[in-house]
Amino acid sequence: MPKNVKIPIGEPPTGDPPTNGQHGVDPADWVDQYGDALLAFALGRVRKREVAEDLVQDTLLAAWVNRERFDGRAKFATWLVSILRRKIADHYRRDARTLTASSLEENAPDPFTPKGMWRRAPWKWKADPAQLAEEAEFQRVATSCIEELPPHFRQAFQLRDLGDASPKEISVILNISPENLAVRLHRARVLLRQCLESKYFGLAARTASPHRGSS
Amino acid sequence: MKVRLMMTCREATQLCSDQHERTLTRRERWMLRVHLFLCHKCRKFAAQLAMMRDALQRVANLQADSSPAKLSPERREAMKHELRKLV
Ligand SMILES: [Zn+2]
Repeated sequence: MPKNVKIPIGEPPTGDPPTNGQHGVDPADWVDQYGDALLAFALGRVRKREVAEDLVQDTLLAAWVNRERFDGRAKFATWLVSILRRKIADHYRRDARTLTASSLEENAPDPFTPKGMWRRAPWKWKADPAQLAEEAEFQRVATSCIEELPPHFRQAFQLRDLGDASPKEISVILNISPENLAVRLHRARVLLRQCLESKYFGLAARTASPHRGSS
Repeated sequence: MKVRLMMTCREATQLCSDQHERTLTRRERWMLRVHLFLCHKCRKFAAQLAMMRDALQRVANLQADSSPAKLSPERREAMKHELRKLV
């Protein structure tokens, strides 16, 4: 099944895009023509399906309201994607604003000492990613570890490691510098690694599973 | 000023992480290689990081496959309805 298609937006079916409010243009047709491709694009950047669907709807509504602004230089589909990108960035900005109060990044445990050494050495994991991913327990732990990340780290991680967005695009979406993004990704990955280790690999080690665990 | 031959584990893991976003500079690559040669903790981290990304991407893909990127008929109709309100 196709999922996060890379750049899923195809050409408009017929040569010229349906715009400029010409007679006979029904914006509802856009839903059939572009809806799925826009949704695939959004799902590569926003994990929650309802949110992605809302963003697609907002995009099409905005496109209709601003249809005179489409100058025909780019493909219509490309223009829609540019609107969608802005909607996605708006979404993350709103998301971050509601989160700042509740989540203080400083509260996240720092896995390194002030001198930059590991507080607790990583254990040895023995696991095959493909096999892990199929396991219900791993899926459960992974999902909850991601949810537990401080939101700013989680946003960066989801966009980068689970989504389709490039670092440059993520910096724009989150409105942070590439350096700041690199720091957030580092923290997110270190915290996540630690969470998986204590909630999954640690237990695996204690029950001495033949497939995984420390040695 | 003291010249540090070894970077800290924090710095080394930052570079391990950065590798997934950008190409390291020649100097960074060298410093990281020296650190990893001497530090088994960060060596484990580097391997786990790659493994973790792989596994988590697979989980995300499995979850995405269970709900394909297609608008449901209901949602499709709801969107059309919203759009027609504007015409
Ligand atoms: Zn180290």
